[in-house]
Amino acid sequence: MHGFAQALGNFGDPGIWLWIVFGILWGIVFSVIPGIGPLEAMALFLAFAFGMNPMYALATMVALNSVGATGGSITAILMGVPGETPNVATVYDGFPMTKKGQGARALGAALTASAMGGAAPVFLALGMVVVLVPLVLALTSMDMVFVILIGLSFIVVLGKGSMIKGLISGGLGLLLAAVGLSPTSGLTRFTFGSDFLYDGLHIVPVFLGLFAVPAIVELALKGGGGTIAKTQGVAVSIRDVSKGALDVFRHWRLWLRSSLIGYVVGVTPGIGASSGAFIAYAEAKRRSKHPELFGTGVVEGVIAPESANNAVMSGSLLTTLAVGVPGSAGGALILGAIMVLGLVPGPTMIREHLALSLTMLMIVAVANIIGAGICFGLVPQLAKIAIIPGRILVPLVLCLIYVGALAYEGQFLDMVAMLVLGAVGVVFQHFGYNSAALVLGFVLGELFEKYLFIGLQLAGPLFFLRPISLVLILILISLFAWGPVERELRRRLRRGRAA
Amino acid sequence: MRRPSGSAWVLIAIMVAMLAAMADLLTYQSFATKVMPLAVSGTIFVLAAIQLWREMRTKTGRKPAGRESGIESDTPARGRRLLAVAAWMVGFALAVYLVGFYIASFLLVLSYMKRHGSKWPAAILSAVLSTAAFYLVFDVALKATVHRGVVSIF
Repeated sequence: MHGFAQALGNFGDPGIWLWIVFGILWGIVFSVIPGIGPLEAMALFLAFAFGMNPMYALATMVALNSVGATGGSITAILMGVPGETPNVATVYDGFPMTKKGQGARALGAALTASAMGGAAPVFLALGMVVVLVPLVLALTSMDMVFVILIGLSFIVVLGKGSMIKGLISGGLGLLLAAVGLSPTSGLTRFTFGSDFLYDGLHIVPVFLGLFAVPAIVELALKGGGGTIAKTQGVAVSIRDVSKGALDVFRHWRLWLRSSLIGYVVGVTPGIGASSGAFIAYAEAKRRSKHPELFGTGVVEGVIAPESANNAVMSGSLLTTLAVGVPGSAGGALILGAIMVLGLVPGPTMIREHLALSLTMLMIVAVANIIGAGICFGLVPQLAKIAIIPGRILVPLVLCLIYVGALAYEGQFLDMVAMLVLGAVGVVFQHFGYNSAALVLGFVLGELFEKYLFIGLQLAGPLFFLRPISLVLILILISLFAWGPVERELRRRLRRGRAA
Repeated sequence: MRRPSGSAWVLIAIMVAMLAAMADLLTYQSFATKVMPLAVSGTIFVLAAIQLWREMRTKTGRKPAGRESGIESDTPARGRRLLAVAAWMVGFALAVYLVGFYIASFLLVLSYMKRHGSKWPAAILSAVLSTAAFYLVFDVALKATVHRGVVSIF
C-alpha cells in the first residue's frame, strides 16, 4: 500500500505532467506518419534521456509508447493508411465508414475505445502487481537465466516468420551485447583494438539502426516524390464525433471483451499489438449478429481493434517491469531506457523502485486518456501530417535520426554504427528475420551473462536443479514442443477421421 | 541442390561471421570471458546451417519473407531505388563527417527536395528553416554535442 501511495504522490509533481504531455505529443505526431512510429520516436528520445531524472524520462517513454496506436487510427480511418501496424485492422471498417460519410463517428469511436481500452486494463495490471511481486521476488539469479530465455523464446515462437531465423536473431542480439568489457571477467571482447567498442555498442545507435533506418528507407522507397497518403482528410464535426464516442458505451461488452483480449495478448511476450487487434476484430465478428457487415463500415469493427491495441500496452508494460522481460519491441525500448538511466530491470526494479514501477503503470492510463483528448482536439491538423510530401518528410526524419545517434554520446562513430546496423535491419526486414528478438537479445545480453555466471559460480554446471528453475525449463521446452505436437495431433485426428 | 538465393547468402555470411567469432573467442584465456559468446555463436552457427540446408532443398526457401508493409520480391527497379536511398544516407553521413551536422542537414534538405521536384525557393526556404530549427532545438535548448565536421568552422 505504501508503494501505491508513493506512486500516486508522484503525480503531485508538475514536472511529470509536462513530460507526459510532451511524450504524448511526440508519440502522436510520429504515429500519424505512416511508416514510422512510436518505436522510432522512443529510440530518438532515448538519445537525450541519459542524465535526465529517471522518473521524467520513463514517464515520457511510457506516455509515448502508450499513445502509439491512438494517433495511427486517425489516418487509418480518414485516409485508409494505418499510421501503425496495430491500426491495420481498424482500416477494414474505419475507412469504409469514412467513404459512407461517417468518418467523424468512426474517429469518435476509435479515440474513445483507445482511451478506455488503454486506461481500464491498468487497474487489472495494478491488481496483478500485488500477486506478482512475491512471485518475482522469489526468483534467484539462477532462475533469471531461464526467465530471460523464456522471454526471448516467446518472441521467437509467437513472432512472425521462421522460428529458426527468430532464434538466430535473438542469438545475434546476445552476441552484440557481448561486445566490449565482459561483465564477469573485466576483459574485452570483439573490440578489434578500438576504443569506441571498449564500452560495447551504445543502445541508442542500435535501436535507431534496427528500427528507424529500415523505416526511413521504406518511407523513401514509397513516398519519395508524392505524398504518403493517397486521399485527403474529411471534415470532422463534433456532433458526429460524440455520436461515435457514445457508440463505445452502447457496445460496452464488446469494448470490455476486446480490452481483455488486448491485455492478455500484452502480458504474453512476443504476440504484439497488431495480433491483439486482429484477434479482437475476429472475435467481434464471430460474436456479432451481423458478421456479414464487417468490412463494409460498421462501428463495432472500429471499437474492437482500437480497444485491444491500446490494452496491449498495459499488459506488455507489466511483464517488462515485473519480470524484466519485455513483451514487445516497445517494451524492449523501455527496458533499454531503464538500463540507460542506471536502474536494473526485473525483480531488483520491483524491490527497490516499486513506487516508480507503479507510477509507470498509472501513466499508461493517464497518457491514454490525455492522448485521446488531444487527438479529439487536433484531428484536422494531425491528419495533415500524413499528406506532407515525402520529399519534405524524408530528409527531415533522416536528419532527426542522425542527430539522435550523434547526440547520444557526442561520437561520430555512433552514427557509423547506426548505419551498419541499419543495413543489418534492412536485410533482416527483407529476409524475414526478427529485429525485435535481436533488440531483446541485445538489451538482455549483459544480464543473461551475469546471471548465468553467478549460477555457475554458486552451484556449478547443475545450477538449474532447483524447483523454480525446473518449472521454467519445462515451460521453455513446452513452448518449443507445442507447435510440432499440435501439428502431429491434428495430423492423427485427420487420419482418424479419414479412416 | 539449387543456386544459392539471397537468403542463403545471408545465412552463409552469418555462418562465416560465427566461425570468425568462435576462432577469436578460442584465443581468450579466461573461461568467464568466452563461455557465453562461445555457446551463443556455436548455437547460431548450427541454426544457420540447418536453415541453409532447409532453404537449399526446398523451393519456398528461395522466397524472401519480407514484412507485410510492402517488401515485395526482388526487382531490379526496387534494387536501384534501394541503392539510391543508400547513396543518400551514406552521402549525408560523409557530409556530416566533413562539414558537420548543421551544414550537412541544410545541404540534404535542399538537394533532396530539389532532386524530387521542389522549386528552388521552396527547397531553400525549407532547408534554412529546418536547419535553424535543428540548431535551436539541439544546440541551444538541449546543448547536445553534435559533430561539427573536420573542415567546418561552424
